[in-house]
Amino acid sequence: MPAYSTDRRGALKILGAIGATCAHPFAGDELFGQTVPPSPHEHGVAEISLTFLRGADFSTMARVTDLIIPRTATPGAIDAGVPAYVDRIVGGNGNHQELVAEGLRFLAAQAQVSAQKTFVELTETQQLTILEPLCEAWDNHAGAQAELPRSVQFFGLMKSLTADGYYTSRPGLMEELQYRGNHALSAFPGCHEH
Amino acid sequence: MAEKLYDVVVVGSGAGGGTLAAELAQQGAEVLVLEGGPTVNTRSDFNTHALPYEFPNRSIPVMKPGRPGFDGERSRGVGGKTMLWNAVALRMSQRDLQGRQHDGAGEDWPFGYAEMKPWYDKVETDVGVCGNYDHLEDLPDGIFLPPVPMKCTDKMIQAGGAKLGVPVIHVRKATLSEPRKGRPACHFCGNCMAGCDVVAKYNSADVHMIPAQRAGKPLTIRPNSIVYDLAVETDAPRVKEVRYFDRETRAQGAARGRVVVACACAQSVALLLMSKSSRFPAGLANSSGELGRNFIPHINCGVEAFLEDRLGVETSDDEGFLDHAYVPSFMHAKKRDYPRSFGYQFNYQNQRSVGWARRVKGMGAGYKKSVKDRYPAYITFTGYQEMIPNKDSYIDLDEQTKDAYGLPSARRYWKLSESDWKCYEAMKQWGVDILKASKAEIHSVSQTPNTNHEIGGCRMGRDPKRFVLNEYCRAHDVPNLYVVDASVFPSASEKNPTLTIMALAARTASHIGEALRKQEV
Repeated sequence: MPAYSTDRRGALKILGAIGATCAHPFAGDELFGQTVPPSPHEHGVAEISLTFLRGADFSTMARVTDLIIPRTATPGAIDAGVPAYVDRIVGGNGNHQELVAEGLRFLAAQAQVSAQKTFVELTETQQLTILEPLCEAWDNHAGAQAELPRSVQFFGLMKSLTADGYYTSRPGLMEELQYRGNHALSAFPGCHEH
Repeated sequence: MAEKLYDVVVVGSGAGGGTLAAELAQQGAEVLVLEGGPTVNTRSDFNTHALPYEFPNRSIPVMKPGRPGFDGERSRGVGGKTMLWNAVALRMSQRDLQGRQHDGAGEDWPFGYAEMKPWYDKVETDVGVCGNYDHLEDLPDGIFLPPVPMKCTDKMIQAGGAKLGVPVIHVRKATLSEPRKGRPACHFCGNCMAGCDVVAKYNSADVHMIPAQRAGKPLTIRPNSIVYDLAVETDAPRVKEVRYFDRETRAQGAARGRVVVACACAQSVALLLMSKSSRFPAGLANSSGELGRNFIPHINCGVEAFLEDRLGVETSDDEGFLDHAYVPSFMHAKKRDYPRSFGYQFNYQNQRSVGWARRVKGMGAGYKKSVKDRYPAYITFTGYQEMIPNKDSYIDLDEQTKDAYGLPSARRYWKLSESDWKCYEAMKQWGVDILKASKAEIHSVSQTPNTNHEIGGCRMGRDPKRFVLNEYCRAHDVPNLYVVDASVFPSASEKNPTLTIMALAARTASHIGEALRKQEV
């Protein structure tokens, strides 16, 4: 439903939806063309199509995002479509593409050395044994990113894009973080905790 | 040449141009506004209520699909930056205007607060500014609508500040806290800087210019008109015509009348620098050589933090109208080894983007919980510092780099002096200290200074050898040329410039109106 309906029935429906909390104290003769305060429209979720990674590479990248933000009582990175988002951002940036290709080769080599398997075939414990030192090095770095080992830079990119993609997704923002804004209020409630 | 002769041709339609054009039209002057960008319908063209997951790359475009505007300096749109500003509206004080008399640094305005006060009064009365009467020496009270209640997070900062003797007051904004003159009160949807689709927040199109037009006043707005030259007469130091081209068709046009340049600081300076002639080879009205010099943008230091008392609390709908509180300048009364001062804007982040989550430590379920706990506790805290003019900070033209319209780009240079650095370090330290006193975990502190609010470059003052404009914002060299935006400020203060731009525009409109009535120029 559009925020401003010129259709009277639409306007009444908006009023009905917000009437209880929003008996709006509007006055004046014009109100800039609107008869009701805006109500957030139905927010559609954008479909993202893959542009860069395919097959085993995509599965490995997806598994990394899943380990960074797993499903708990709330949806995780995979539930929120984060791998497709990461693919899109990486696919649009030459530097990212290079780093991700190197990073995936690094993970494959580590998995091969430790268990003669692919990364996704490892147990979760084995996967974390590879990723957690990268995470720690990334989290605690102080100097320039360019001076970090490429594997650490790769993990940093995965973590950043996973966080971006997850917390801007509908499940991440609305279910996990419980974002409650973007509504018309009749008055700002202020703080009643003090 | 049969171009119509207007009383006044205004270049730019934002806080300066929009206010001045409406004021003059209300006085009966025939005004043409040339705006480089398109007409924007405030109610329907902005993506005001969108959420990030509606877009594949998760960033919310300013405009709805197919609606032009706000994608570059020359295509912002009618209303200029007032469409997307955060509406913080602060008066400058006597010390802000004439600080040199206190500390010997920088440059004084050619008049003091007593001269500005009636114009601040007028603008606040016309547009509506909410705020609290705080009775502060360095932040004069205005004519206020009721203040908006503080958020819980603001009250924590207020309590922390109190431990250090730092004041935390209600923010003052040109956003309505109660309905007024046909505009609704703010409904606290939290999207102020995405375009306020109900015009509870001031913008110059819907609050100044369009009402003047509806009242039948002689105000014409010509959108998509990019001005590239102010041509002068051959036999007199006067602007002959304002030359522009249509942004879409590139068709040339010209307009005649007294000229007011109000394109926002750097763009105004650039237009004058571009308007070269044999009489003014270094740029229009630049016989002093001062045009472009004395660029004094605000210097920022940003801190991000999590308030411990808010960790893990239930979320609520408290985005409000972004920042509800403000830390006014408090250093003037303290002993220190640098001139001027700083204030802080804080808690203005929206809650629908969570960029800080990248740098929360860990991975897995523990990381996820860390982010969730911190979400209701996160605040931004940004210092705004006054810079003292220096020779290394200026605006010029980049003749080599032409923009999409074939015009040279404005280039900004800024460099902090030793005393600016001292002030910056103090601002950074006080910011961290205030947050720590408020029981906050510091998440990040910016490592290098940033700038915001472009100010200076076309200063006003009485001496034609040292200033481009006189005390009425009129060019010393060119009697039918005025400039009204933050480029004219001789000193910046640490306060957001827009209310002062509007007050100066109203004052300049009155001056021009008087000249018109006396048939001068």
